Amino acid sequence: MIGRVVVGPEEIDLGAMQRAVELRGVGAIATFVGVVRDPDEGREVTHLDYEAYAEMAVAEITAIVDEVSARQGVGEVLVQHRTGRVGRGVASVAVVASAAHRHQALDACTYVIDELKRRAPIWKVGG
Amino acid sequence: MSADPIRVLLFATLRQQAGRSTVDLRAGQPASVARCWELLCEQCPALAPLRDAVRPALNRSYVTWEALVQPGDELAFIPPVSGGAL
Repeated sequence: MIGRVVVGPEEIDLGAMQRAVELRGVGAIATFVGVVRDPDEGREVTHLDYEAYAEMAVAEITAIVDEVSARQGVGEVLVQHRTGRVGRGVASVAVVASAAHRHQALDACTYVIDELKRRAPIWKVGG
Repeated sequence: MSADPIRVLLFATLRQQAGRSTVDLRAGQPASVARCWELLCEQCPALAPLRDAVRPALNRSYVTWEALVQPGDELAFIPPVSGGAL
């Protein structure tokens, strides 16, 4: 079962997310994956620890998904953000959007990740 | 009859500065978000310098400092967010 918006410690199953947005009429599926980067600005990174106000993060990201889903051509949009410890090279956030045409799908992905980073109550802590 | 407290949730830098993740407030009701911040800082003085950096959220939605808080509400002061990879 793939939730529309998930904020929690579970690993990201990108294939399952992509399969879940394959609907009739879809001509494009765009995927954004944010990965823990090592090194970062010359500093070794072994992991990042994420903290979330999970209930509000789900509500805020759901609002973002609703905003972008109202756009012409956009089909299904799924978002997952991990909490807790995420190792280097591992996905901490993923956005998958389907649409009738490629630009609609790519633009939907961009909008969601940009707004998530601006609005969702999620933090990198310690590290 | 004693009213339910206002539950304040603290995250990230606020949680670290306060040394706890929740604080219960009893305000004369209804109290503004700004008044709740003052009451919170009476219990956790280390938070006072952070006011300009935080954004209030009432019952899981962003609100202004003038919004009114009722007994039993869930209040949070959101420090600058940093989700996403990097």
